[in-house]
Amino acid sequence: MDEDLDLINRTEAGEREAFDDLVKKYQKPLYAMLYRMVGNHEDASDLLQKAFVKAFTGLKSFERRATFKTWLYQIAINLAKNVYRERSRIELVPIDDVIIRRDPRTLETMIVNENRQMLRQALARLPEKQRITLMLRVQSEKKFEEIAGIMKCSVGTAKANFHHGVRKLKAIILEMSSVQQSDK
Amino acid sequence: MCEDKNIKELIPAYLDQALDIHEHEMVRKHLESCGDCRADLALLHLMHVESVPDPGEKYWDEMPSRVFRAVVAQKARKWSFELSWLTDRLILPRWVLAASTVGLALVISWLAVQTPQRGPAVAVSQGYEPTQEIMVSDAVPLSDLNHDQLDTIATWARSELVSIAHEAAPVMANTADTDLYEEITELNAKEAERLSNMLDQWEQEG
Repeated sequence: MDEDLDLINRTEAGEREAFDDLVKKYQKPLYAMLYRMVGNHEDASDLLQKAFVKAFTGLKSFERRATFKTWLYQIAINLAKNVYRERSRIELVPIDDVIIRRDPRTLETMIVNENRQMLRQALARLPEKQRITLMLRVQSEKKFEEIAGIMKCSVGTAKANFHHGVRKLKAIILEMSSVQQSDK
Repeated sequence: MCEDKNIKELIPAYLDQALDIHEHEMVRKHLESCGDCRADLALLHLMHVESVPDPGEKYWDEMPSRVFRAVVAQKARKWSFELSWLTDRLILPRWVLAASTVGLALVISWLAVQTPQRGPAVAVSQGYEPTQEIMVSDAVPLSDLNHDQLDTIATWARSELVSIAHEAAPVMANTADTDLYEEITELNAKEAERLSNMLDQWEQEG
């Protein structure tokens, strides 16, 4: 039997040890993803606890068609989205018409040299689905099949979101960098 | 801009070093000549190494207990909400409760004061088959009855009074006041004597 299903069954039967094991298994990777989404410890910690509480109080509604991991991440991402939307004051600038004219080598250098603050700002400007897909793929190291399960979309859509996200991220960084240079 | 989607899909896995030898080599060679894909790789690498501050072992050790307490509290709030929802719909207004109580008290009082209805003056004893003349709801004057009927009545009266005396005997025996029992037995004797006197009188009168 799947390890998670065994822990869930034992948790539903009232076994405290199984409950603790489930929390310990997912607390760190889930916290890391949430931290990257919201950017601070307080919100990430609050969301982590809320995600676990929601998952455990709603165990009876877990249909077990997807993995518990996927279901837990879905809950966490939905909670994080609400926080993100409330706190976000950045208008998403449509950048589809931004044409990257620079030498790709320069872009590569720019990206390597850019600080992480600009990266976080650029990520914040991405459309939500692309941002979450990028984070799940790169920072949580999930395969596209897992991402598709969490985002409730097809594998093709997950891949498309990822590619479009990467492209737009580069364009945003270029734009931000251009603005910085013009301010100097 | 590079439009090779196959390579672009493999870049994250290349970053994770999760490709087989053939695919790894394919991507590596592509990157040598494609600045756009190198930019992608650099960007993804930057995101990948973005560090998350570790809140410490104490934080992680306490998290399961913290979650457990929150789950218990959440479930308690849910039960409290459901119970209050139920009681809000079951609890009636005070005036309804008061009126119901008063009504119930009145019904009980009415039932308590109701005395059992006595049968007609002419009752039927066991073993006696009533005739049409006897089975009447209205009382019949004793002077209208013949000797046989009077005998029957006397016999019935004695048996009824005796049965009442027998039923009352345990109660009477348990009470300090035995007057009622004596009165019943006395009544029996008195009533029998009265009936007897009446019979004698009628006999004399013919």
